[in-house]
Amino acid sequence: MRKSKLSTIVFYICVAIFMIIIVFPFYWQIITSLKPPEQLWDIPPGWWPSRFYLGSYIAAFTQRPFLTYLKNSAIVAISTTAFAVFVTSFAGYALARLHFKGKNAILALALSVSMFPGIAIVSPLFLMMKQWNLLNSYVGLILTYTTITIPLSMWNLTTFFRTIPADMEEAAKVDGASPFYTFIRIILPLAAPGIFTTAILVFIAAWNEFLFALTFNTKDALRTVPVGIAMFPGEYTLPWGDISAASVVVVLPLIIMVLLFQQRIVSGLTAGAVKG
Amino acid sequence: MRRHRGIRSTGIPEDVLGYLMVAPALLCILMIAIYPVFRTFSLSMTDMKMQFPDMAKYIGLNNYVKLLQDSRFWSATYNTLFFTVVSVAMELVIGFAMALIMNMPFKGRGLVRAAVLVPWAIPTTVSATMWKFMYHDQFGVINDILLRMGFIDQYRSWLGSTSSALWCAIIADVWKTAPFMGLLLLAGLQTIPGELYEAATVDGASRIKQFFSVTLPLIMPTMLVALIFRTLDAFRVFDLIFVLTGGGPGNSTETLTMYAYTTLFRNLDFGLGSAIAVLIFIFVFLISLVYINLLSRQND
Amino acid sequence: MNKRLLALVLAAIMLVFMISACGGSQTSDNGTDNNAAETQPGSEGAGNSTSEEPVTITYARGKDTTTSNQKMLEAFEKKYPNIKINYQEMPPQSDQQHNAFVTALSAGDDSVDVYRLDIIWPAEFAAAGWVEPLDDYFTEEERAKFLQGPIQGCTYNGSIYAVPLYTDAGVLYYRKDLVATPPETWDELYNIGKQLMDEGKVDYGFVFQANQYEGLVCNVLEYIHSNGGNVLDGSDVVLNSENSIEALNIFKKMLDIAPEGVTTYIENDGGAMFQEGKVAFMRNWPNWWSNLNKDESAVKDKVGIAPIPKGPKGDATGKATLGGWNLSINKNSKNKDAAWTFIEFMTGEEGQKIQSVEGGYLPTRQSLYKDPDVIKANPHFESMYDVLVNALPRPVSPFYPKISESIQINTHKFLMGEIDAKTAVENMAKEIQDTMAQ
Repeated sequence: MRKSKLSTIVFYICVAIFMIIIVFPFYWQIITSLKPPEQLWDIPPGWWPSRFYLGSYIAAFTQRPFLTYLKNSAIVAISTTAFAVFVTSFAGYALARLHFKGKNAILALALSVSMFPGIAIVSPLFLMMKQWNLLNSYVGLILTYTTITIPLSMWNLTTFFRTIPADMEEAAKVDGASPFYTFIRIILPLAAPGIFTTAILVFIAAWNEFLFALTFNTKDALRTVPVGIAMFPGEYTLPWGDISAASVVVVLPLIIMVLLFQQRIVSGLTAGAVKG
Repeated sequence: MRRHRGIRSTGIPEDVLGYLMVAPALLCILMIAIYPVFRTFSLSMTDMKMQFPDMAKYIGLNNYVKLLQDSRFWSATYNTLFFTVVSVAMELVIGFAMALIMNMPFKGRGLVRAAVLVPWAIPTTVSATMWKFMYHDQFGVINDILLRMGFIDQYRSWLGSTSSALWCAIIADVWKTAPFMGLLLLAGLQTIPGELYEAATVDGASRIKQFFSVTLPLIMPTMLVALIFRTLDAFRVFDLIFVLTGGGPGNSTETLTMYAYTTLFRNLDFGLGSAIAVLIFIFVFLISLVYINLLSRQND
Repeated sequence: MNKRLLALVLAAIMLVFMISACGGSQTSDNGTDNNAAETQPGSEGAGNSTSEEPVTITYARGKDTTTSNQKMLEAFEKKYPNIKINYQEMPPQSDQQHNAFVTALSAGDDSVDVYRLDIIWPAEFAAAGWVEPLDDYFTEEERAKFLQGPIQGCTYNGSIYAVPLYTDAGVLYYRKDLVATPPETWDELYNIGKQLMDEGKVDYGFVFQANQYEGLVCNVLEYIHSNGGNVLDGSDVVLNSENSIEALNIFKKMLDIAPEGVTTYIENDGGAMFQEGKVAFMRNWPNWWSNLNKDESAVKDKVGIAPIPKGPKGDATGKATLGGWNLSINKNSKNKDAAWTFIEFMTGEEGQKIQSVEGGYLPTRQSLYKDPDVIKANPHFESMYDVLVNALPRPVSPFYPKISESIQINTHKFLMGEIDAKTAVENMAKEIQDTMAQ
């Protein structure tokens, strides 16, 4: 393809505009978090902190229960990831390899569940959790998050298990190994990349969930990060600096994760879409 | 694949093992997703209020009758549909542009691909909070930019006007999800064999013609799948509205999920709230049907 | 190795996993409760309430940004060594505390003995049977010593369900350096504000809270009440009146001299602008006083505080909307007597004095407005007394959230120009009527 110099320049300008639009809100958040209190209310707003002020970061962690939110989110998201991936690697293997009736029905059921709007199940789930004494607990959220991430996780892993060549299993079978043994010793290690990809996706979904976290865990001590951020504004003050600082802290690990595992995430996300 | 079924050396029949391995996942789905849907439906036929849970009684379809006559329900439906259609359409166009760009070889492509994932990965409440600051009429940077560029001659209240608030939500949503769409479409683009373009070039087809005769038809299935995900996601929008406007101004950004949430957890009216939830479920079901229909027609 | 056994073990493990996860909530739940209790030690209240043995009662309230709550608790425990207080901190926003309390109370929770209620909740909680009627504890004679607005807000169907802890009422902040005497009517406020804007002395004349949320109800009711209108008279809906319509129109007129975005503002947006010296008048709550007089405030020592203005059909004075918080006893509490002792102390002269001196909260006991220590710490309280005596609560109803929602939506639609004042008032009256009929 021939390209004139002009069109190359135009192309790079387009790329730059896209990048600026994507990055700008983050830039704004970061400088807001570093602005000293007296600069926060300037009109027009300043585009650079008049002096670097770390008070907002300190306040987010000391005067507000932000550390608690982080801890809660970590517990819930990590447990959900572990539980969902554990449960669905069995299911995914069975669906990919073993022969039994109703496999397609199960996959179809999972797919339709993935389309459920959360609001359609939140009221009875709230009542069930209340009955089981699981409101304001980690278990209630973990259970719910595991369930809502199972469909995605199950599809991903099933697809992934199918891509693993059958020869190795066949060889193991010839040696007389049971399907279960084959699964643990041969398939799982081969599937590790797929499991890892799935785990990242489940983790992000659980880390970001809002509706159930908002309705189930109403005590401050059990709030997760997304709810904590949404509820940050107090009764009488608007702590823009503090919220910005808190958001920067929340976003950083996600950015690092995305940059590190970018390829995996994209392949996990697109696996379903591209193959139909 | 040929496989013989039956007893293996373990002594456990393969199908029993299969069911055992699927059981935990299936049980969770049945208990935490399927069963609640039915219970939402039965709740929607009662007048259950959280203050008086024991006084709930069966009232048939009364809640639905009430909703169908309720102008607030219809305006929430309209807002939801408007939000869904406009933001998904914009995401598709912008996402496509991004996919085409990312599909070209250029310096820094890896960085761009990683960067576009970031908005998708952060919690919606965080991105909504960021946008809320930027939209602020006095301290917000958007007014500052637009004023400097000469698009406006005085500060506007973007979130405070019924004509612009929903658009604000749409823009924030497009910002967060167009990159996601772009990546899905990019993956689709990469499956198109290069020979097809070469053949088309030999035939003398222009770039634009190639786009319509080669790219578009081949990417259609991927696009439809991406559209299903995004449409259903956009249709149940909640976090964004909750943080950005809380449904205002003048209820002009209240979506169906927002209405259901307020009815359930603020007014504690579980009967009516569940009825709204059931209607959302039905809408989602219909949308899925349309897409699945399109998709299966594609595959034929 | 016996593979059959292995498979059985696997199946068993999975079953256990499932049961412990999906069904057996009790076992796993304890784990989390312990976790949660780390931050709130000793949440298991002592079972018996005999006065000789020490009891622990749990007190749940929203976060206090001042030190006053802590000091009050210390003073109480010193005076009553047999009663230990386990303080449970709730989220700061009223709405969120409501969710948290409803979640607990509707499940018959007895772990909290004393709840601090927003002035708009007692009717709802009383009707649901979640809080104990206090008629036997809180005598008529004692009630007479309190401000009557808060008492009215805590009374439902003739019984009293909570004791006012501190109160709050809308006030008008004005710039002493720009305005010689504060306006008495809305028209005056409008004209002065407009003039100051035209002269370029301020960017905007007036800020208030007109986002679509609870604060909008407080604001619009001030216009309605100050213009001879009302929402309820007993259980009759009397909102639909010429006075209400006129009041709404006055409210809308204020948008002319307010920032563009005032219809998205809550307390702090306007507060920040007023603090920057960009606005002449602000309707807000009394506790902004201390913020406005901080060193970094551009209007330090330039701020006056005055009652809410009145409309043309109003009485002698404007009518502020009452806020404030009140203490109540959980119906399922096992330590009701100890809980009452605690409430009596907190809302008594001793407790409230600490609260006002240390935290700047407005007392609910009339006598404290003449207390030299209280006035010394809060000189502006003296002028607040008249505001508070005239302040009116929001409608008292077990379905208050629905009433509030109707007022919010219709008022906001009216401010947005979607409907006219008459339609707004009619819609509200009809919807409130329907809600009351439930």
